[in-house]
Formats: sequence, structure tokens, C-alpha cells
Amino acid sequence: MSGISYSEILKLVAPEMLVSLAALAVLAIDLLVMREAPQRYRFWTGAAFAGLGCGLAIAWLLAMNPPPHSMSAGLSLLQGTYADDVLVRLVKVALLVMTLFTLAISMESNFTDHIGEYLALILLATVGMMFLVSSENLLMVFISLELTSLSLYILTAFNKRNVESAEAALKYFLFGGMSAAFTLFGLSLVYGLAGSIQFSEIYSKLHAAKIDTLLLAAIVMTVIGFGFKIAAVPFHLWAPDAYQGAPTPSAAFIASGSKVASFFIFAKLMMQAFAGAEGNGAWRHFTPGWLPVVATVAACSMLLGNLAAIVQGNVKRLLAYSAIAHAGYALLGLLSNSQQGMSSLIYYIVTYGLTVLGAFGVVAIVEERTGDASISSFAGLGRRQPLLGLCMMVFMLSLAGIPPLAGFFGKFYLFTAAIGAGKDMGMLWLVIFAIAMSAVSLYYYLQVLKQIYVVPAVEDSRPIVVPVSSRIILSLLALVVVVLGCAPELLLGRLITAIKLASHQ
Amino acid sequence: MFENLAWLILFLPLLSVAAITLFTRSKPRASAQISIFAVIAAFVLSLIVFVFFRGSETNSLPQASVPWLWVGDFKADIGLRLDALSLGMMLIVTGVGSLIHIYSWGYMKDDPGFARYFASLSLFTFSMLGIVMADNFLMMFIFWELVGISSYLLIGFWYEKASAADACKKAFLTNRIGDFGFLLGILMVWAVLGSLNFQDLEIRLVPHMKDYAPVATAAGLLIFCGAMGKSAQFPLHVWLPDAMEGPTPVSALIHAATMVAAGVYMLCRVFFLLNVPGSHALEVIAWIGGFTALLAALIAVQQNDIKRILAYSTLSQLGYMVMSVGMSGPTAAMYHLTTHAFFKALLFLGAGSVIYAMHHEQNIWRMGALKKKAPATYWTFMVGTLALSGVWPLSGFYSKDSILAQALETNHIALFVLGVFVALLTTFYMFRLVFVVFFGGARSEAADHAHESPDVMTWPLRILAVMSIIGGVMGIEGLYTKQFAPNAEGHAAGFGQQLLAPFSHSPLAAYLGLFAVIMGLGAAYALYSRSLFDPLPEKLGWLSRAMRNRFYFDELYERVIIPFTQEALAKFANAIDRWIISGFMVRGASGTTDLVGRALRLLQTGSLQTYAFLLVAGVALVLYLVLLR
Amino acid sequence: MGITFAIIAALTLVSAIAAMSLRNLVHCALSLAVTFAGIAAMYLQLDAQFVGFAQILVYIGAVAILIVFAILLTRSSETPQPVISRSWIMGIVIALAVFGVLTKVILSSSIAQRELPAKPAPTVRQIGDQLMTRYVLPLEAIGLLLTAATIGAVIIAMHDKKGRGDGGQNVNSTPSRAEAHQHADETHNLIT
Repeated sequence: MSGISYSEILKLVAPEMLVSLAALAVLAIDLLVMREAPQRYRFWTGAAFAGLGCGLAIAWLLAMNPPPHSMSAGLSLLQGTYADDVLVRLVKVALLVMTLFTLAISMESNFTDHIGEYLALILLATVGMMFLVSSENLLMVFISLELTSLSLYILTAFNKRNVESAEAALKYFLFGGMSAAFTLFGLSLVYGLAGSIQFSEIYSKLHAAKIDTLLLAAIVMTVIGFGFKIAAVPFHLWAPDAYQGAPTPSAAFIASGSKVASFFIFAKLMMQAFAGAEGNGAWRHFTPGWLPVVATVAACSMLLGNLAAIVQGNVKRLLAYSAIAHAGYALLGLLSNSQQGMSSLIYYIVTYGLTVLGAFGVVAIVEERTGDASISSFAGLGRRQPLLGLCMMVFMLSLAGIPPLAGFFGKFYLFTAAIGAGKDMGMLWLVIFAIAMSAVSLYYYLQVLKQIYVVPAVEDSRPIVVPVSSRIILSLLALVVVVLGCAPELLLGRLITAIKLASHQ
Repeated sequence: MFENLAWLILFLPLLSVAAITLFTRSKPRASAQISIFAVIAAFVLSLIVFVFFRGSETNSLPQASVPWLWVGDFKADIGLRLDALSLGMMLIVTGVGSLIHIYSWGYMKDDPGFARYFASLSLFTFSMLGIVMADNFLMMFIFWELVGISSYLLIGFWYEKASAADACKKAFLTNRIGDFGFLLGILMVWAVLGSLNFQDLEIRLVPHMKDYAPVATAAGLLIFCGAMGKSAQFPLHVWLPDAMEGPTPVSALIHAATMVAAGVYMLCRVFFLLNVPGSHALEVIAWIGGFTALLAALIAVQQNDIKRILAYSTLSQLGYMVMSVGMSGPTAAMYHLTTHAFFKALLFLGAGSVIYAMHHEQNIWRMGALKKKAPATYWTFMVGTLALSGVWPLSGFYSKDSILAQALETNHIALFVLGVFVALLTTFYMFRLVFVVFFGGARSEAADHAHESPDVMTWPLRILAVMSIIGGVMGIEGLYTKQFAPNAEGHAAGFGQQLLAPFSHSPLAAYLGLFAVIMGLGAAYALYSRSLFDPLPEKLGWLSRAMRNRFYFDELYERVIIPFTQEALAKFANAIDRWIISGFMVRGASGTTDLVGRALRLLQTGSLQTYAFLLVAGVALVLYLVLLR
Repeated sequence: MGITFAIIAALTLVSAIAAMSLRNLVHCALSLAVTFAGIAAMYLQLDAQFVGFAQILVYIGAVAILIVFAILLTRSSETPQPVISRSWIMGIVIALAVFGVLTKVILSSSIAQRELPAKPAPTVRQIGDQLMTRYVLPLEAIGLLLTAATIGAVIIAMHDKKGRGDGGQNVNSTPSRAEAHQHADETHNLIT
């Protein structure tokens, strides 16, 4: 146990450290120096520092060579509390990009005086997600999950001028607490069965033996925790209220970054640690394991998410239900239980995150200018602010899965992965269901577009003024959605090489 | 070199969209010129490639493809396939498209959205060419959806009109149902055969026949779902007549000549996947096509809106083509598709000219005696009608005859009789239209003051009329025969022989077809040549009412299927969620923002317990499902 | 171990139920402290001395006391009405169901047949070692977690200064809505 090299560890976790330092720096600068400065100025300074931290971390992740497969002495000491490979780095870069966009979206909103704290919490949540993505160890999974969740609860409660914000945060918090308890119980059962908290050791202990019923119970408990994080039915109850009540940038972050990280580690845990306990999720051939559990959750999410979204009158709430539905689609990638499944899952959830960030960005501006985020306040947006309308159209159509946008390709690739999984197209029933449901989903996205382009603005039809920075950011996101749809290989190619490399380790 | 030309053909319309949206949005005339130029250039280039293709002895030009995505087993290219099938279709899309673009210049002259209109038209041309030239399923599907989007843009062009917006929605949703099946079919084919490229599939089909045969019926029908949506086959036919809310040239281009034919084209493209021993897909396709043809023809008999009559006529003819594919006759289907593109575009543009002359009046019973007021329109419309009815020696006669002959050859006697009957109905309703609109006396003020349309509108009519006349003897059938039966000999060489070929080739079909035309014409003449109102409702009673009300399909969908499925489910889901989230657990947002107070209040109202209760109930349910079942 | 365990378990359970159902919040807090003590006793019984004492120090020594302080400082400690919700029967049914399933599963599991492993004798020193080497990153992450929690506590407890920016606007502009909800809330209270 001797010879641990902290400097080596520090070098290893440099990206996380950079972001943590940025969080502390933002907090300190805002509290000590900028207290009396005008709000806008404070925000710009804080966001600049936060962005700098994220930018440096991205640069580090991209520039440094990933560690060789034979781990050095300092690393092996950590034993899975921190994994680092190309895939993990890729996901971290995606997370950091989403954080940057979240910061950018926040710039225009005006819901709090505690700017330093707000930015610091966003960064701390990011650190939590980065740790989460890196973990291959149940303890680390739980702690980073909690770090992320706790920061997000507070981010949800941040709008102290809005009653709904506190209400939403409380629901989010209580629900999160309970599901965390279940998760912890499940993880402790896994430890009891396998005698280890290491993914790889759990696998080697458990995959050979006959599936223990207790292991199934443990898996169910674990799925609950992740089901809560990704807002899958029946653990979704918090989502609509939290999305609606939270300040819009917080909601965007919950919907994008947090989902990417949770989905990634959920898939990793299931595919690596519980690789021997899949069971069978084929229609009428359910055998116990995690596949049928996840398949049930996925089907329920798609059904309830899409149907309930149809009747929503608030765009944030609508996006919440659509998020539930999208969680259902993305689970198809996990259900494929293959390398292709993993790549399709990550591709889907990353493009989804970017799209939904853009959608929330538009919502944030509309909400700021018209006072609320109900569907009718989008009326006439196409004429009041053509660029914003166009961006929203791109985002909505991508969410609906219309080619040639990223959402279409993501879905298509997910479906091919799921249909090719297992033998005899066992997941066919779920794929059919998913395609049917995504056909339904178009309906409610069109309702939003109808407001934007068809319905004239009722009260106020003056043009909406949007600062140049927001225009650039939203156009950039829309462009990314289009480009990733037309040239998916930009992301997917990297993902696939990374997954191949990671699996050879 | 010809591959590069093909890319240019595909992208010219897209370039014009870009140019219009980026630069000339505020200059309507320039926008229209760019768009028209692009489509004419695409036509000329297609013609060059086509001539080269005819000159070469090959069955298809070398494929030009660019790898788009190669990951694992999943390969997708962006590639163009140039063979008789796609080249023929390209000529239709760009050729008829050019004429319609030019016509639009006159028709849409005073519309405030002139530039937007042409941009959408170009976008449509681009996506349609994409479908036609695609060499794999994925690319075809992408363009398939793009065509959908651009056509919705065009249907909803006058989106201030509520009916246009509704029609747009209807078209979109109906098509989604079709596309749902199509996508599923594509995935299924991919899962079994492991490729998306048409040529690859054709090659792989042979060794993998054993795997494919069991799913062939299902996959074929799922793919047909796509055609059902786009080509408006029963029971997804309801959107097409409503789509007539769009500008008339759009109806001509999209809802007559090109887009609706995409379904038929796609079926022909993947015909090898349908025509698999042991598969019953073709049989179903044939009957659905036949039924649609009959149903739509019956409905058309009692419509009074000039565009709706033509819309149902289109439906009916599409049913004909689909029926032909189903009877293993893709050649005949494509043949009819081609001639139909000529004369139906002609009829729609003619109708547009009539509507223009009547100052946007569409009810035929308010027209009359337009023969003298608008002679060019009258003559060309007459040619279109004769061609559609199948009068020898116009193009419609030949293509219709080849479908009927196909029915006889493959022993589909019932469908043959149905086909002849539909031909009779077609002649009847078309001449009803002609007699009422162009003959008799003027039935309204507007009809009295009608005037001929400008030259920019009548010239496209004249060109299309010529094409409708000579379409049957240009050797179109031979072109498609080369594609589907490369070894068969063309059965007509010289012009004279070609002119009379049907009578020697399949005399029964030819003579019965002509007989049906004469019967239909006679009936129409007897009933409508001088009448001021429609005598049929009195004679037919309830049947006529049913026909006029489209056999109540729209009502059925609106009153029964939509409320009982989608909306009911949505309300149900919402109610459950509302009940759980707000009603049952936490009542709205109230009181202070003080979090501690809020927590206590939750505790007091028992909501917290309910939270825990629901969560644990969920857990118990999942545990039960996994462990104890 | 049987009888000792039974006593400790009963004590823990009873006090936990009391903590949920008593009406006086101070009493609840004290029962909670007893629960914590019971859990600590179980740790000690399992020879997990470090965890046991940490439990006593942290939970009884700090958390429970803090809760009592908070209750005393903020408001009257008597809750106005019964705290058990009406659907408690359903709740018990569900809880029993889950309990039953888990019991059944645990009893049928291979763990039940496994013989007890030898008692480990980890010393505090070893635990410290592990925390500073192998588990140094989780430790760091917990540090960040606490930072986030502190920031959050401050933010939530702090009263927003009104009148700055458009701070008070939202709150002032919706009194009628808040009242309406208050009303709904009261009727809801009556129902439950």
C-alpha cells in the first residue's frame, strides 16, 4: 500500500480538478470582488471564469494521451474508483460542452442575485457527473450520483421569487432521497452477494453462478435509482414539476448533462457488472434478469411520456414528458446489450441533450420576454423573431425524429441496434412500439410549431429583441443538430473506435 | 462523368433553395427565375444522361456513391442509382416539374408569398429527385420524409386559411402512419438481409432466401404501408382530397404527377423483395389497389368541386397502378404512372386555368359554356380527358390496356372486371365534368365574364397535351421492360405496329376497354350534355348521398377512430398523471417560498407518505414482475 | 447473539415508528435519537467498532441535537393534526408486501446458506489508510458534496432582498393566485 503518488493522481483527475477550482474561483471572486457590481457584469465575469475552467478541462481531455492500457502503479492503487479511457473522455467532453451551453443559456435569464453560487453549483454538478462517468466502482457511483443530485436539487430551488421553484425542488429532493435509499440498499445487496464493489469483480463473481433471486432484487433496486435519474416511468413523478418549476437553465441542465452521465454509467453498470444476469426481454419469453425490468420501464416511459405530452399546455412541462419518452427510446440502446447498443445509446443521448438544451434556450428567452412558458406565448414567434422560430423548428423536428436532423439518425441507429440484438429479433416488439410512439410524438411537437408559425400573436406582436450572443449560441446548437444529422460519423465514428478500444482493455 | 452530372441534377434545386432563402427572399421575380432555371437545367441534364443511357447497352449506369456512415455491420451510403426506372422518373419529375414551374409564374403572380412558394417548390423537386435517385433504403427514407415536409409546406402555403392548416395536419399524420410501417419494414429487411443498398439486397436475396421467405409477407406489407401513405391507398386515402387546399399548380405537381406516384415508384424499385415465392404481399397489394380504384371512382362521380373530382380521379388511377404492381406488372404500373403524369398534370393545370378564369370559383355547377371563353384551355383539357378515359390512340389507352392485359395474363379475372368497370366510371365522371364546365349555358355571373389565361399558363398546357397524345407510342413501355424483364423482346418495333399493338397482343382487354369508354361517354352525354343541375341524386338516392359524402370515411375517422384512440389515450394518461402528481399528492403551489414551512406542510397534508407509498408501490410491482411470476 | 439482537431490533423499530407518528416534534426528534442509538448498537454487536462509534458521535451527538435545535428555534413544536395520512392501510399493505418479497428472496438466496465469514478486525488506522490511498477520490468527492450542500443550505435559508432588480415583482404580482391555492390547500386538508 505504499508508494502512492498523489501527484500522479492529481494529474489523472486534472479535468475534474480544473472544474472544481473554477467553481471555487467563481464563488470567491463573486463574493469578494464583484459584490457591488451590476448584475450583468457579475454574470459575465463569473461565466467567463467558469467557461475558462471547462474549456481548460476539455483541452486537457483532448490533448493528453489517454493512459496506456497497462496501468501505472499510482493508478492501480485507485482500483476502479477512477477509470480513464478514450470513451470516458469522449463522454466527459460532451458533458463539458453541455455545461458550457448551459452557462451560455443562463446568461439571459434573471432569476437570482446569487450569481456566484449559481455558477459554482453548476460546475460542482458537472464535477459530479464527470466522476460518475469515470467510476467503475459502486461506492464511487453512489457518491458522485449524490454529488450531482444534490447540486441539481439546489439549482432547481434557485428561483426564490417563484413559488413553483421551491415546490419543484422539494419534490425532486424527496423523491431523490427515497430512490437513493433504494439504490443504496440494492448496491449493498450486490456487495453482500459478490463481496466486492468493483464492476469487474462483481462480474467475475456473479456471471458463472445461477442467477440468485436476491441478485434480481438487488438489480431492481439499482434500476430504481437510475430510473429516477433518467426520469423513466414509474420513477418519473418528479420530472414534470421539476422541469416546469425550476429556472429554465437548471431544467435544461437536468435534461441534458445529468441524463448523459446517468445513462452512460447505468449502461456500463448493467452491461459490465451484471453481464451474467441479463435474462430475456423478448415478448412472451421473459426470463428474470435486468433486460425484462428495463424493457418494462422503457415501454411504460414511451407510452406515458408521449401520451401525456399531447395534452400539456406548458412547453417546459411538455419537454418534461417528452424527456420521459426519450428516456424510453434511449433505453433501447441499453436493451441491445451490445457494443452497437452502447454507441447508439451514447449518440442518441448526447444529440438529445444538445437538442433539448437548444429548445430550453429558446424557451428561456420566450419566457423572459412574455412572462410564461405556456404554448400560447409562442404564438407568432415565427414572425416576431424568425431566427428563434427557425431554431425551435429544428429542435422540435429533431426531437420528433425527422430526417435529416440528428434526432432521426439517432433513432434509426438505436432501432437497428435493438432489432439486431439477441437472436430472432427478440426486441422487435419494443421497436415496433417505439416507432409507433415516435409517430405519435410528432403530434405534440407540431402543436408547438403550429403556434410558432400559424397562430398569430394575440396581445403583443412586436418583434422580440434577442441579444447577439444568444442568437449565436442558439444558431450554433441548431447547426450542430443539423450537422450531426447529416454527418453522424463525426461523433459516431469516434464513439465506435472508443468503445472498441475500451472493450479490449 | 455522368455520375457527376447526376449529382448536379440532384443538387441544382437545392442550390436554388439556398440562393432564394439567403439572397433573393425579398425579390420575388428573381427568386422565381432562379427556381425555374434550376429545374429546367436539371431537366436538360437528365435528358443528356438519359440519351447516353439509351445509347449504352447496359442495364444501369455505374453507381456513384459516397460512403456516408460505415460503422460495424451498419453501412449506409449516399449513392445514386441510374437505371431505366430512375431515369424515366427523373425525366417526369424535372420535365413535368419545369412546365409546372413556368405555369406557376402566371398563376401565382399576385401572391405575396411568391418567393417562399418557389423556394418550397424547389425544395420539393430536390427531395423528390432524392427518392428517385436513391440507391438505398435509408437515403430513400430520408428523402421520403423530406418530400413529406416540403409538400406540407406547400399544402399549408395559404396557412392563413384554417382549412389549409387542417389539411396539412391531416396529410402529415396520415403519412406518419404509413411511414411507421415503412420504417419498420426497412428495419426488418435490414435485420434479415443485412444491407440497405438495393443492389446488394437483390444479390443477397438469392442465398438468404431461406431466411427471408418466412418474413417476406410481413416485410412486404410493411414496406407497402409506406406506399399506402404516400400514394393514398385505402384506408389512408383521406388526406389526398383535402390536400387540394394548396395552390393548384402544387396539386398538379405533387398530388397528381410526382409525389403521390412515389409510392408506386418505390414498390417497383423494391419489387424483387415483394415478388418472393411464398409471399402473399402482392396479392394483398393488388386487392387494396383495386379497391381504392373502385372506391375513388365511385366517389368522383358525385363530387362538385373541380379539383376534388380530379383528386379522386388521381386516387383511382393510383389504385390502378398499385393493382398492377400487385399483379406482378411493374412495367405496366410504371407505364401508366408516366402517361398519367402527363395527362393528370395537364388536367390539373387546365383546372387551374379554369379556376383562374373564374376568379377562384371551384364549383362546377357555377361554371358552364367555357368552351368559347377559354378555347385553349378547353382543347387541352379535352385532350387530357380523352387520354385519361383511355381513348385510342391517346397515351392513356395504351397504359391502361397494358394493365388490363396484365390482369388477364396473370388470371386475375375479378380484378380485370373491376378494372374495366373503373374505366367506365372514369370516362363517365370525366365527361360529366367536361360537359358541365365547358358546354351548356353559363350558370353564374363569373362564368359569363370568364376569360382565357395568359400565354405563360396556356403554353405548358399545350406541351402537356402533345405529350398526352403521343405518350403511348414513344416507346416508354419498352424502356421499363428493359428494366424489369431485360430478356423479353419488345413487342413493337415500328410506329404503325406500335399504334395497333394492343389489339393484336391482347385483343380482349383492348376491345373491352374501348367498350367501357363508349358506355361511359354515352351515359355522361345522356345525363349531362344539357342539364342545369345534377340528375343523379334523384335517380340513385342514398347511394348518391354516400358517394357525395365520400362514403363517410372522413366522418368515421374523425368521430370514431381519432377520439377513441389518440385523444382518449392522451386524456387518460394525463388524468392519471395529474391525479398522482397534483391531486393526490401535493396541491398546487401555494404559501410562501420558505422551504422549511413547505416541508412541514407536505408532512402535515400526508403528501409525503403518499410519495413514499407510490414509490414503494412501483418497487413492489417491479419486484413482483421479476421475481414471483 | 439472538436475544440481544432481538431487543436492539425491537427498540430500533419501535423508536422509528414513534419518530414517524408522534405529534410533538421534540418527542419525534428524541425518538429518532433512540433509533440512531439502536443502529449504533447493532454495528457494535457486529464488531464494527469504528462505524458504531462514528454513528454515535455523528448522528446522536450532532445530527439529532441539531434537529432539536432547529425545531426549538423555528416554530411551535405541536403539529395541528394527526400526521398519519388516510391511506395508511394501503401503505402498510404495500410495505408488508415488499417486506415479504424481500424476506422470501433473502431466505431462498444462497447467502442464507453461506457460512459466516471470519470477523475482520479492521483498525481505525487501516480504515484511515484506505481512505487516503485507494478511496482518496471518493473522499474528495464527498468533500465537494459537502461544499455543494453548504452552498445550498445558505442559499435556501437566506432571505432574498426584495426590491432589488425585479425581485419583489413576481411575488407581489400573484397574491390572488397564491390565495386561491391556499384555499384549495385548506379544502384538501379538510378532506384528508
